[in-house]
Amino acid sequence: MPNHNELELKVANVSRRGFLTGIAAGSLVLAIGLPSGANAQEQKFGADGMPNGWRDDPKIFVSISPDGLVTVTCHRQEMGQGVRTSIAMVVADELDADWSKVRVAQAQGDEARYGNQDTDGSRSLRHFFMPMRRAGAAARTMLEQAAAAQWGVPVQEVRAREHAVLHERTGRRLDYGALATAAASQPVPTRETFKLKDPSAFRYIGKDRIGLVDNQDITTGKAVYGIDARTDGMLYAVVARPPVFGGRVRSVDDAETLRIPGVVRVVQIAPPNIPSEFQPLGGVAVVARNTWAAMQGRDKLKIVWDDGPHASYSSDTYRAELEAAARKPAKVVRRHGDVDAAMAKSAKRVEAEYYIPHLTQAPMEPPAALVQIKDGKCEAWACVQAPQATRTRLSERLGIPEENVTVNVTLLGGGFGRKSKPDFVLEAGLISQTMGGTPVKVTWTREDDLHHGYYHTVSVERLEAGLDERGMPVAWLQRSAAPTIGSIFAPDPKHELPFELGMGLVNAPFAVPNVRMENPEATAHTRIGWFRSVSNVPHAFAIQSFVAELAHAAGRDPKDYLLDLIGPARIIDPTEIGDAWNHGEDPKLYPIDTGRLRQVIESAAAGIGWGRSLPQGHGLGIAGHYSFVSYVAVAAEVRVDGDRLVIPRVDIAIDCGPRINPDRIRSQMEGAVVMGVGLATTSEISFKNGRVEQNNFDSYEVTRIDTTPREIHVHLVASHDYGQPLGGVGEPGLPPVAPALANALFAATGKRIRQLPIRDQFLA
Amino acid sequence: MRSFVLSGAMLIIGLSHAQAQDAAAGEKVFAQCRACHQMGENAKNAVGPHLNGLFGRTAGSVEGYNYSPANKNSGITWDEAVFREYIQNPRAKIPGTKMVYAGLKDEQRINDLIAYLKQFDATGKKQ
Repeated sequence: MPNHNELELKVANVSRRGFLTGIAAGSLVLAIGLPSGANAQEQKFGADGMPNGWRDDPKIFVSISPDGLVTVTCHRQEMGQGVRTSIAMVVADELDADWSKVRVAQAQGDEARYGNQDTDGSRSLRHFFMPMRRAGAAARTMLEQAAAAQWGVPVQEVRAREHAVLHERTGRRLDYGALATAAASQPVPTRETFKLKDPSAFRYIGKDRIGLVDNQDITTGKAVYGIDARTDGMLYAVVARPPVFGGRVRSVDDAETLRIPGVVRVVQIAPPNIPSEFQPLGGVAVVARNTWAAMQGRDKLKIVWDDGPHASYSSDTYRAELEAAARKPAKVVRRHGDVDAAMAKSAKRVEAEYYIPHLTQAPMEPPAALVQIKDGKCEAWACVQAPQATRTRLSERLGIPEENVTVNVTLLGGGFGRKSKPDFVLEAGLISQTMGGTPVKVTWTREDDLHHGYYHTVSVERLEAGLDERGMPVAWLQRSAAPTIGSIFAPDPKHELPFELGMGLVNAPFAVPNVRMENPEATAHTRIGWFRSVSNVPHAFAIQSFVAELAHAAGRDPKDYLLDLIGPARIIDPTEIGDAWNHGEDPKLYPIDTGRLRQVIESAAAGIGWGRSLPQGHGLGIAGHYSFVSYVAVAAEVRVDGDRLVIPRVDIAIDCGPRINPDRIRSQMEGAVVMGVGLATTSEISFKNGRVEQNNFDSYEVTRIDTTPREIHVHLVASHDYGQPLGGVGEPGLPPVAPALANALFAATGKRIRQLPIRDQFLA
Repeated sequence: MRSFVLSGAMLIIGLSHAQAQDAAAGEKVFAQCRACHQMGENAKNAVGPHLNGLFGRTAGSVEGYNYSPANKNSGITWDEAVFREYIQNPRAKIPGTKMVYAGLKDEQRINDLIAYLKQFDATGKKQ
């Protein structure tokens, strides 16, 4: 079929950040308008397609001290996913290091040195497993060369084993510490000259042998997060930001603020130009000797705001706008066959409309940053997912050359996409600059985080299917209406970008002969940003709910119906079904394999005991979704207990290709289920008169212990074939959770959920 | 003899009463509540509602706080006796409350906590 996304191909092929950099330079239009002359050589995928790509130089990532301690530098950010452990584990395995002698150092933001550092898109291991293996293997080879030179024997006669190099013929042995200095002066071997381990010799990779390197520090309170950053002589600031996006200060009276003991100064931050990208929202900062005084001072500010162009943004009326847009023909983003003709001839038609509200990442640690400027040099300590972007934006905004900007990354108390945007670090930088370079820490309260986020989009998904006599769809029409993330980078775009459409919409791998998908216009009235698994959330909720509705209409079992809709195991080239983006990966290396999707669905179903008889008021639901080049299915059991929804059990199955750190895969799946329960049942950001209506965790409700599923079972369908490409792990667990729960609730109560969150809809 | 026994009993009651009213110790107990609840003149609703003027107030009545239906419809008016029962096992007293707290079992610590809470009137001023 003709590629309808041809013009957008170029944007699709530059990575998330490359795409941002392009827009920052004012070249979004250029990027989209580039001739897509299909120059295959120019197309870069995976880590090659990311800004600054990858490095595998052992001298960058591995150091060994004379006492034998190995330090692995982790250039990706730790936000609970365990990347510091997993990266170090991969290096240590190829290095044949003793794990008890391995430490992890955190890299500063410097992509020229480390390669891409954007910790997002479920990419850390997917893109760096092989480079990190090579870094470890090269370092091991250098140790072997150093030992062979010292003993005067051919390097082929020696081998590294458990933190030492052995010469078996003579029984000689030198441990890594003794070889460290000599190894460092060995030439770095070229990739062709050293051997990677045979996977059968892996000691850590794919095993469950080691816990998190940060566990001890985290559990004893020693771990340093952005919110903990301290330095001598620092001041503390909080910021009163415009309550409406795009607003600005009309006047401010700070007389009472300055009377609060401890308050040092009140500083204005200019509002950003629109589109605002990663720039701060502007407002009034109160700088004080401690956070408490700053907060007290902020309470006493008398600010008159000009609310700007989004002062009437209200979620209820906006929903009506999206619904109206979704009920009319719109821009076609995928087309197969003739939907209208097939629909007209179908035996039965089913339609449904789903609403998925704004969400916010709500990391347990709100944004926080400490910045100082001294002798023309800027240094930041912050919980950021993208330290390189933080560095370039600090450089640009403060007018300090990039080489004089240092970004130190703390642990992140959760990120989920919020901390990909360094607006909060820029606030600290601007305030410090105004204060003559004094170190200033900016603290965001929970309320600040909920009121001034980069929100997950809000969507109306309208679906219509025409069924044949057997109840299977012959026509599928879907309209997805949602404001785009592109709106923070470009002036007023109206359509979803290829990476948003490619998140579970146009690449839905169903065996339906006639498909048309459309993307109506939608205008953004707040900052839209990445939220864990991004547009997969609304697309998976709508599609997987609708499939269950079709199964019901056809009088069939939802699991069997879902499998029939996916069809037989086959390989689909995503570009042939309209997804030119494919999560940035090579469609030849990463085609959609419906057999793998089928298998996770079967695994989750088997896990929960699909088809078993249930007590009154219980129900089972299932959903399967492909995202971040991994396959995940969720089967859930729910029970309605009076006016409460209880979740006795969830089974989640993932196929993410070869397993690197199974303990972390399980943890990420468990975390996805817990987060998914929150967004399915209680979480919602709503606006009224441009203002967010939720203030704290009483009104933005995330999953609490009493609503967490009683049991979560993770099934790893992951392989041990390390020659296969890796899938993502951090995000793909989330999308199928909400539809599985909603489908289970339908089975339990007969009440169909067409809007999130569920709250008490099952009582109505 | 009779008066001696009485005064002895009164002495013991007096002692235990003095222990029961240790608001300073109660402030330390409150440290674990502070993750969600605020007290004092600047107190705001956060994860939980502020607790100024708790005793005498109706459950679910603080303006601007989003209570669970269970709490809002509990019909409880907070007094010492009902609070004592509640805080030992909140989810037993109000099934469906969203307050996630396993419970405070130690009677002395409950006494201290009550003494601490009682110091604050509805405006958050210490009495």
